[in-house]
Amino acid sequence: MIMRSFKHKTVYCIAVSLATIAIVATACAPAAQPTVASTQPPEPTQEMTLEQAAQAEGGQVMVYTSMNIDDLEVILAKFKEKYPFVNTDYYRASGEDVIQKALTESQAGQHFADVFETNAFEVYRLMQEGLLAPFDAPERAAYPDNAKDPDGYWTVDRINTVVIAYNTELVDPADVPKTYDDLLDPKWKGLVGVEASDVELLTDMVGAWGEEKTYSFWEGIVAQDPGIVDGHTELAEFVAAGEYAVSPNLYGHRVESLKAKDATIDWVRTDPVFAYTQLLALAADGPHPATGKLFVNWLLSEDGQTAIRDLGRIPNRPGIETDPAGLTEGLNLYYTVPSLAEHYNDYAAKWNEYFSLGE
Amino acid sequence: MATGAQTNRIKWWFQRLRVPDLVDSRLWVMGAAILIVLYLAGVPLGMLFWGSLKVGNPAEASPLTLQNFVKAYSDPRSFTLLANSIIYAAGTCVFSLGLGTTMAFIIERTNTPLKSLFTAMALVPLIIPGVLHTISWILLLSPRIGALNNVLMSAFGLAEAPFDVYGMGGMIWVEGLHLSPLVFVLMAAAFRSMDPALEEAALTSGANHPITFWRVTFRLSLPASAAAMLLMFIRGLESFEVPALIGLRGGVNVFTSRIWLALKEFPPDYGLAAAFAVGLLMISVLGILIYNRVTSRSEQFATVTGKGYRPHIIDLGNWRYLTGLIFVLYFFFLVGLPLFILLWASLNPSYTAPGLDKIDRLTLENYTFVLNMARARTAFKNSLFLSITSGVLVMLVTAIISWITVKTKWPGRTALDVVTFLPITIPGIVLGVSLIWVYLILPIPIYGTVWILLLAYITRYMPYGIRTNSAAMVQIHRELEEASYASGGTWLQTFRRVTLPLLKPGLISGFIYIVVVSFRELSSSILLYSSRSIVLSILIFDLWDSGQFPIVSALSVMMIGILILIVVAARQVGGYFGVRTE
Repeated sequence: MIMRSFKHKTVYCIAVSLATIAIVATACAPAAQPTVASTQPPEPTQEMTLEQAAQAEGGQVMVYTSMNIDDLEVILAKFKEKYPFVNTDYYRASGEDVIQKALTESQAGQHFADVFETNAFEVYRLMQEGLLAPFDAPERAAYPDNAKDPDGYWTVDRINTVVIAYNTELVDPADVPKTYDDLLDPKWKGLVGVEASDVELLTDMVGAWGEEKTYSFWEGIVAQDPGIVDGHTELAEFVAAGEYAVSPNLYGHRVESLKAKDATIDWVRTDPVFAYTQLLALAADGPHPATGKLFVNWLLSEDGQTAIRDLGRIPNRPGIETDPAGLTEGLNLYYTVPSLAEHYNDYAAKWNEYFSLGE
Repeated sequence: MATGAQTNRIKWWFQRLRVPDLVDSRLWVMGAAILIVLYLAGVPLGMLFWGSLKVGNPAEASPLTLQNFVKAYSDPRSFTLLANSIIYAAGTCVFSLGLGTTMAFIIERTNTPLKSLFTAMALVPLIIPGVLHTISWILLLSPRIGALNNVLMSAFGLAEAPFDVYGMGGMIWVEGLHLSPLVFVLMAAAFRSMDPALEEAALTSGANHPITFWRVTFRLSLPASAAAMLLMFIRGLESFEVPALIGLRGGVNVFTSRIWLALKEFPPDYGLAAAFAVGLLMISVLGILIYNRVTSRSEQFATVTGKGYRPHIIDLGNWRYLTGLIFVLYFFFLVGLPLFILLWASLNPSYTAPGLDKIDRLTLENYTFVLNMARARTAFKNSLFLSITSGVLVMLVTAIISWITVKTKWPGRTALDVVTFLPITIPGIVLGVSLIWVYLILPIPIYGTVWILLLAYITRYMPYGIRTNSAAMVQIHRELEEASYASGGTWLQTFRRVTLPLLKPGLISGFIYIVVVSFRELSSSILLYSSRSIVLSILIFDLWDSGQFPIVSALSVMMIGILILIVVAARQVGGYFGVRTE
C-alpha cells in the first residue's frame, strides 16, 4: 500500500537523524590538532652538546621518511627511550610523495620537516632544491666515504639490496641462476617477472657494468617475454605463489621475510649485489634543527643502526651484523650513486622503451 | 510612549526580521550551496589548468606556455593509448551497466527468493581495495597458477588453461565486476521510485514482461542509467589499478599510464601530467553535455507524482528459481571467490594457493596483530568520521545543487552541473597539492588535521552526489512541490518536507556509495594525512608496501564487516522515513 509521508514529524526525524549521525561522527573524530608551532631555536654554542641543545630547543622532531610506519614507530620509540625528553612525529610516504609534500610546503613559505630519510635520487633532489642543511654528525666518522656526501648533506643510513629471486618449488636446485646472464637462458622464457618502475636498477647497472653490457642484459630479459608487475610487494607475492619462477629485481629483505613465513622463495648472491641507498639528511629551515641533529646522529650511531637491524632491515654502519645474517655479509655491494639522478630521465626513457611502457 | 504609527513600524520590522524569513530565503541556502561547490571544485581545477600551462612544479615561478599540450598531444602514441582507454572504459561501462541493472531489477522488482539476503552483500566488491580485488582475480584466472583454471583443467582434463586474465577481456571483466555494485546502487534507487501505472498500461495492452521492461521500465530509468553510464565510463577512463597489474603484463597500456610515467620522471613532470589530465577533463565535459541533452526534457521521466504510486513487484512464477540461480552465480563469482581468497590469505602466515593439504597452516595471528595495533584504532575512527560526515554533507549540498540544475531554468545551471561533476577527473595528487598550498597560505589552521581530509573527500565525492541526486530529482514531478507552495509553504519548508523525503532512495544510495569509497581514498589522503589524522587506506597501503599481505587481508575482512554494518544501518534508518513501499 501507499504511504505518502508529508508529515512534519517525518522530516524533522530525518533532520534529527542526520544531525545525530553528524554528531556521533564528530564525537568519533579526534580534536583538531593545530600544526606544530615553530619555536625560536637557541643558538647552540660550541660547548653545548647536541643533547643539551635539543633539550634547550624543546625536544621536538618531525621526520619525513619512506620507512614503513610499523618500523618507523619502533625506531622513534627507541630514540625516545634514549632521550626521554623528546617528542617525535612523522610523515611517511613514498619518496615521490615526500618530495612533493616538502616542496609544496616550502613554496607556501612553511617548513615542518626537521629530518628527511628517503631514496637516494629524491634526497639528491631535495638537496638541489635547497631544502637540506649540511651537518657533519660525529657518528658519520664511522662510515666509509662512498656512504656519505663530502659536504655533509647526506649519509646512507640503510640500504635495500635488489636481488635475483626465484620460486623454490618451480626451480630445481641445479637450475638456480647464479649470475645475471643465467637469467637469459631460454628455459626461463615466459617465467620471468620484472618490477615495472626499477629505473634505479638500470642506472646502477650502467654504473657497475657500463652501458653496453647493461643494455644487452635488459634486451635479453625483454626477449624472455617477461611479465611486468607494478610494485615490489606484488611481484614478491607472485613469485612466492608461483606466477613467475624468477625475477631480477626483488628486495633481499622482503624475500627473507617471506622465507621466514615458509613461503617458497629464495634469492641469489650475485657479484655484485646492487643496493638502493636510503639517505638520512638534516632539513634546512626545519623548526627544530637541534633535535633534528640529535636524531640524525643517533640513527647513525650503533644504537640506531642496531634498531634498524632488529627490524629485519639492512643497516649501513660497518660492523653491525644483519638479521637474518648473510643479507649483506660477504657480498660485493654496489651502491646507488645519488648524483646519477642527473641522468635519470635518459635511463627512464630506455627502460620505458624496453617494457613498452606508455605505448 | 510609542505612537500608533511607531508601534506599527516596530511590528513591521519584527515581521521583516522573523527568523524563518531569514532562513527561508531560498537565496541564502542556494547561494551557500553554490559558493561551497564553486570554492571546493574551483581551487583544484584552477590548480590543474594553471599547472598544465607551467613547466615544472606548478607552484614555482615560470612563464606560461602551451608546450605541455604540444608535447602531450603531438605524440601519436597518446592517441593509441586514448583508443585503448576508450575501448576499456566503454567495455567496462557496458558490462557493469548490464550486470548492475539486472541485479537491481531482480532485487527491487521481482519476487526472487533470497533477495533480501543479498542486498547488503551486493556492495562487498566495492569495499574490497582495488589492488586486492585485482590480485584475487589474477590468483583465480592466471593461466599459470589461477585456482579456477587449475580446477577446470583437472576436472575436464584440459591441456591448456581455459581463461587468461591478461588482456583487454580480462581487464574489462575485473574492472566491470568491481564497478557493477555502483550501477546496482544507482539503478536500485531508480527502480524503487517508479510509477507502476505505465508498466501496468503496457501489460494490459498485451506487452509481455521483457518488452515492458525494455520499452517502459528501462526508458523511464534513463536518467539513472545515463548517470550510471557516465560515471562508469569516466571511472574506466581514469582507473589505474587494473591496467597497472593486468594491462602491463598483457601489453595493454592505457592513457592514464602516460600520467603515471610523467609523474615518475625526475623531477616529476607535473605540467605534462596536468596536460593529460585536462584531456580527460574535456572528455568528461563532453559526457556531461550529452547526459544533459538526453535527460533535458525532465517532465517525461517524472514518475513520482501526486498520484500514489507503489513499484510493482513482478511474480516470476517458476522463473524466480532461474533468477535465484543468476544471483547465486553472481555472488559466487563476485563476492564469494574474492572474499574466500581474502579470508584464506588473512588466515595464513604468508600467501599460498588454497589447498586442503595446507589447512594446518591456518592461524588467527593476523587478526590478533591488527587488534593490538593502536594505530589501527585511530585509523578506523578517522575513516569512520570522514566517510559518514562527507557522505552526509555531500548528499545535502548536491541535493540543493541538483534542485537548481533540474527544477529551475536559471542561466548558468548547466555550468554549475559541470563544475560540480568535474572534480571526478582531477588526479588525487593535484587535489592534495592544491589543498596544502591553499591552507598553508590562508590563515585557516586545518593543515595536518582531519578537516583538510574532509574537504578533500567532499570535493572528490561531489560528482557522485550530483549524479545520484540529479537522477532522483528528475523523477520527482513538480506538482508535489506546487501543492506545498499552494498551501503556503516556503521554498525551504517545501525542500525539507517534500523534496528531500521524496529524494530518499537517491540520497541513501549516494550516501552508501560515498561511505564505502571514502574508506578506500588514498591518492589525495597520502599528501594530506598526519600521524594523528591517519586513515585506514593509508594504513592498508603502508602494510601492503611493507609486504604484509596477510595482515592487509585481515584488516580488509574487518573493514568489510564494519561497512556492511553501516550499510544495513543506513538502510534501516532510511526505511523509517519518507516514501515507503510495501
